[in-house]
Amino acid sequence: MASGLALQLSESEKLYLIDGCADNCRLDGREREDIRQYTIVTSSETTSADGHPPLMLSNGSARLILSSSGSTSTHILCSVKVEVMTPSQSQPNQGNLIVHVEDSLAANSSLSRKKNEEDRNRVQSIISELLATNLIDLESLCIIPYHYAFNVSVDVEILSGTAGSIIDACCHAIRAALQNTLLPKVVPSSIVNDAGTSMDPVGSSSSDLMLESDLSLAQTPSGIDNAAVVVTVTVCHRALTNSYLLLLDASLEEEACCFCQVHVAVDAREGTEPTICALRKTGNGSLPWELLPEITALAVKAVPMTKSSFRVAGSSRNNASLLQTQLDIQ
Amino acid sequence: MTTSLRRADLLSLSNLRNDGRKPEEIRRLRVQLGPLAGEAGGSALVEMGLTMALAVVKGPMECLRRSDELPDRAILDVKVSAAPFGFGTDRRVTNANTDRRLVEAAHWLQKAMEATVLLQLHPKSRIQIHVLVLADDGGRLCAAINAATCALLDAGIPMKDFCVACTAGLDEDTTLVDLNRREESSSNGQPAVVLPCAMLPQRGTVVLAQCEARLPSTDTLHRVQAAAMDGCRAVFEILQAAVRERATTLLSARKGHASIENAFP
Repeated sequence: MASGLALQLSESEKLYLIDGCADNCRLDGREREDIRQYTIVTSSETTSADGHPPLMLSNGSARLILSSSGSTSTHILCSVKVEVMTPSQSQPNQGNLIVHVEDSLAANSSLSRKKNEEDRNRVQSIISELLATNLIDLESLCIIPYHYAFNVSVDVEILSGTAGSIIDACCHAIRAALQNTLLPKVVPSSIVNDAGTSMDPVGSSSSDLMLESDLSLAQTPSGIDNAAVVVTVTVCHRALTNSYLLLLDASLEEEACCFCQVHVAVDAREGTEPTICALRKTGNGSLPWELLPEITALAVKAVPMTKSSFRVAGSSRNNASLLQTQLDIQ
Repeated sequence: MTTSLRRADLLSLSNLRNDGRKPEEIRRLRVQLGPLAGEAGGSALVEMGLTMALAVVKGPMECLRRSDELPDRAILDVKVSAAPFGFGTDRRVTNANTDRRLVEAAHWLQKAMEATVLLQLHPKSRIQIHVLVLADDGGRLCAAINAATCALLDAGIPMKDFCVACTAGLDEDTTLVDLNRREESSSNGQPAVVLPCAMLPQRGTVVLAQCEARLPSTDTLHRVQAAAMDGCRAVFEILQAAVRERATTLLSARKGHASIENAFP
């Protein structure tokens, strides 16, 4: 089933699961702080270098597959499309980035349509709140201040969410898709034509934007390598000892019996101390205040693990990094 | 960037289309059966050129409302939706429930599948087919039909035959097979001739044929229809090979000779 379908576990199943977590052995044998390996597909051919990204008609795309024990899988497809627009008056030097998460394949029984709406909006609002400002440098999206800027639309499609951990998976997919996005090089044609003598006022018909069709001049949006990574820490409450257990990368069963979840967006670039960009708590449990530093510390600790626990299927170096090195040499 | 040779002249000069194909060639067709592992039912991902459609089938199961169920056969609950990025050129956020063309596509898909699936074997039940169009470069309805067929096969629902679909069209008296978006869009101010056609290839019967443009004569209609059927047969060969390969993989996995890694293209 796609996401939005809450698993219902009996009380004894929940007890079994939580007791297992207390003994540091989860349902699939992992430890509490172990994360599963996921696969990112950014290119369709596995061997040759002329594979194409999953969605050719988008500026960037990535597909993420997280499968646990072979029978359940979380499957995410992310597409990045770029268009030129007029920047807003309040921020004339910045472009815009919108993140939209969709779960079209969710079981849409007409009986609980309202609940489905809420579930859909929940994932969408969490991800866009956590990530929208922390992904790329918006000022680099500006072409001409006050007149033209890029509008980047990131669309995430949840194809299957049975292995849990949807929000983490969406964020990784968004990051991978943005790293593979190529922004076309756009120059105002008046600057090109007049060689600095008299510039026509921008916006008049003679100063349209000119698109450089040379692919090697296209660039990835800057700042994506320093983008925030979202880590979801699942908190389970063990009634027997009145203790709280923290889990990373929860499966669907663990999410069904958890007390609450805390989604932390961590900015961990090399050379500086990791900083927390955003934090959001979901779930019905009330979190004790003293637990919060532990949760954030765990999230920060998990970031290097997350960054290294995926394997990229397809060409191991994305095209953008190849192009960057070529541009540097020139 | 100006070239001395206009793209439109390519067809007349070298008998090639704007993406380098010959007029009777279909686009590269890639089929993936069961991409969503763990889904109860079946799923299939079909890529015809750059058009990508994902179909998910669930059922046979209970009807939602007693008034929907039929006493002697199953009903097909078909929904076609498109991802926000799957709309051709720009990103447009359209409500899938109200986009007229998607609703129409769902209707055509339902009619095509009702002629193919053996509905009498499951009275009073419902088979739910949901097609998600992930990318649209022309031939959206045909990709949806092909994906639905493969998903129904993956789900193990009994069918009379494959239901394969392909478009055919006309460009200045040359019949084209499997049109992409540029060929489907109107040229010279007249709507382009596009004929999506779905058929049951082993029986040779046509299940769906639809054309909304003006054709010079009935002979032209026969020619375009015949070209569409040839395209369908080409699609059928590829689909059949994909289904056979999947079946052998599953069989050898069951025997323990092989194990299935979570598949992706």
